[in-house]
Amino acid sequence: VRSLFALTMILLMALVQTRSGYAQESQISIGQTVEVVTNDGRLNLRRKPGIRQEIVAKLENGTLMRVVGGPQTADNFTWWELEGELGSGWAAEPFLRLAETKPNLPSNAQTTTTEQFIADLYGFQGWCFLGWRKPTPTDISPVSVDTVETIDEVKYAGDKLATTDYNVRIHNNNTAVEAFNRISESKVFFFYGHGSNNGLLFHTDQCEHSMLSLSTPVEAKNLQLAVLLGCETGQDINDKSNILRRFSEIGAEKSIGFNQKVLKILAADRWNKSFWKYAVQEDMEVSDAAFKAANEEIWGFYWLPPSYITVIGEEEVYLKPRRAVDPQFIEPTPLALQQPTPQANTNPIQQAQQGVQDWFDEQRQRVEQAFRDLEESLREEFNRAIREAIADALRQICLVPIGLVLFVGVFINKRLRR
Amino acid sequence: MKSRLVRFAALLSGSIALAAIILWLLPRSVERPASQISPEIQTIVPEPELSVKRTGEIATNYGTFQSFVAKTEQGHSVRFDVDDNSEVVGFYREHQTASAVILTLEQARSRAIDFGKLHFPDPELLDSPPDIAELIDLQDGRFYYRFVWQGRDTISGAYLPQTLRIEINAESGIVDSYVRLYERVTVDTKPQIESLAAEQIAINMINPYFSVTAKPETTLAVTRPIWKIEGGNQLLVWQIHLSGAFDKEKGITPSAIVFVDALTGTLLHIEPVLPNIEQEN
Repeated sequence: VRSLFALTMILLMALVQTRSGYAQESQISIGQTVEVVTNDGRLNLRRKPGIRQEIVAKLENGTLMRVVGGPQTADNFTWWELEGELGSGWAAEPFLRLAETKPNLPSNAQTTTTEQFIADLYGFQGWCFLGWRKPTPTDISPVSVDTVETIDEVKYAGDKLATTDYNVRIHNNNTAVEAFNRISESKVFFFYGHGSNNGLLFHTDQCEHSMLSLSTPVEAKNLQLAVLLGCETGQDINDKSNILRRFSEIGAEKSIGFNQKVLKILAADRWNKSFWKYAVQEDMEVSDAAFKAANEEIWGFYWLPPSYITVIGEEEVYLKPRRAVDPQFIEPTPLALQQPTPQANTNPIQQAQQGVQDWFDEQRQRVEQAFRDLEESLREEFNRAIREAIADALRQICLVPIGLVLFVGVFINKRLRR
Repeated sequence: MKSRLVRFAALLSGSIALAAIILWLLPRSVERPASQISPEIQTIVPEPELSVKRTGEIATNYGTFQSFVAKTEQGHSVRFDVDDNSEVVGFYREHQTASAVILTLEQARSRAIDFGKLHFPDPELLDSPPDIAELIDLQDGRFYYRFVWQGRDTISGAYLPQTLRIEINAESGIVDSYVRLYERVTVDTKPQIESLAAEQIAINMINPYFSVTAKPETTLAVTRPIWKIEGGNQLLVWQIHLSGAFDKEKGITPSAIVFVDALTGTLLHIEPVLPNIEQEN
């Protein structure tokens, strides 16, 4: 029976080769799209290479499949691992030929082959190359967390900041102009995307993009922290055009960047998660959080070399609400691309009075905030102490009589049985 | 009636006993003596009364580690990551500063080796020169030394999942941070697929999307599938970094890392590289 089967297969193979004119030597390789060629009937797609392996699907003549593995030799056939709409499995090479068409990629006239590459890998159709993950505009509330990409990560950071009463709102799909305006109103500026030594790239969902290089004067007097998760944002900070340095110069208390290329998105994702966890949830100082998160890449994020962190700014920054939340952030206001310039006050006496008033206001706010912080920490300490005391007392109370209670229970039970 | 009363009393006492047991089993105070977590902690922070608080866990490809924080007598926090065997796989001292470089590179290296030999599971790795030995200047007046040792297979040269990174405070000389990855190699480290063949597989895969113009950067490594979130068995892989031509319009260079199984030639994963911008638009 085996001989008959083998003979049939050989004949079939010869027939297929004659009909298709397919060359003897294989031209198939991983990544290519192949077409199923059968003389009659359907081609078996098998779980493993070999003619006795379990059949997972039957492929019609002309079916297009993508080669994802192989080749392997079994039962005198060369086998390729294929993937397609009907599933994945192994098929014998004689029944396959290179498809004339290109791989079945998302159809979008505007996309380039590079965009298709990303689109194919991540399953985003009609999304431009610069967006790894399609963002969904989400407004939560104040403190800008600006980004161009990776909505999951931004949402994560936003959620965490929100838990500290930071009143977060997330901006996606920004242009650099919008980002510029938001810097002046932000306490945390978070960017996750394509960076360089001297700029950050912003884009819209129409695939337009613009560079934020801070060459335009901008003030960031509210900015406590700038996190620039992008390639080489922290490289060569002695260069005047370095983006991290520029953030520091315009007023950011602390700026965090990467001094090498952030090669793997997964590594960037993990750093991002760990960083926000430590900085917000565990109340670490932000540079400690950045370094600690970077240390963890050793556990599978990378080999050598690791992406090193650059931090600028001497002031310790914590993301707990250590200062009053600015009332203007309670209700997000529609963003005006061109902010009106306030009228300059030219009267020197009024300027001086205003200066003194501002100083008093600032001091008052600081004192109020200090009291609020103290009150909060005392309350937390008190609650914790009470909880622990109650738990300890209950344990002590229960431990002593527990034996007695058990003894009484057993004793009563025995008496009852008698 | 009396019998019912007695039954009720028995039931009540049983319930109280059960409740007491459950209560007893509940987690006690949040803080625990460091020695209960890992005796190694006490050797890193030699304070007799040191207690630690659990802060969470880190899920990695190489297992899930428990995280703890300890407060030293000076009020500094030290964060420890501990594996299932109660071994410290990493620690980080917060608020460490070094305003001057007191130690020489050689002195710092000596301290790192002494520390590593005590804690790294394969002390022989430290007999070889470190792969990285550098003084890090944080540009804000703070300095520390970083040393990295990377395990390599002596025959194939493959990177092994055996890495040690120690950072030494350049002023005080204490170990500011320590992190290690150590796993016994369980796969054959001799590749069955030549690097050129693996590169060809990778290039064929990438070609429909961009033309590879630069010479591939190829390394061999024993690794867990780090392209997954966590888990997976050890593999011997060719890691092939491919780059295309600079796209003037977009200001980026398309690039990807392709992972090919070095024993079977199977394509394992493609990691698009987050491109940086090389010119202003």
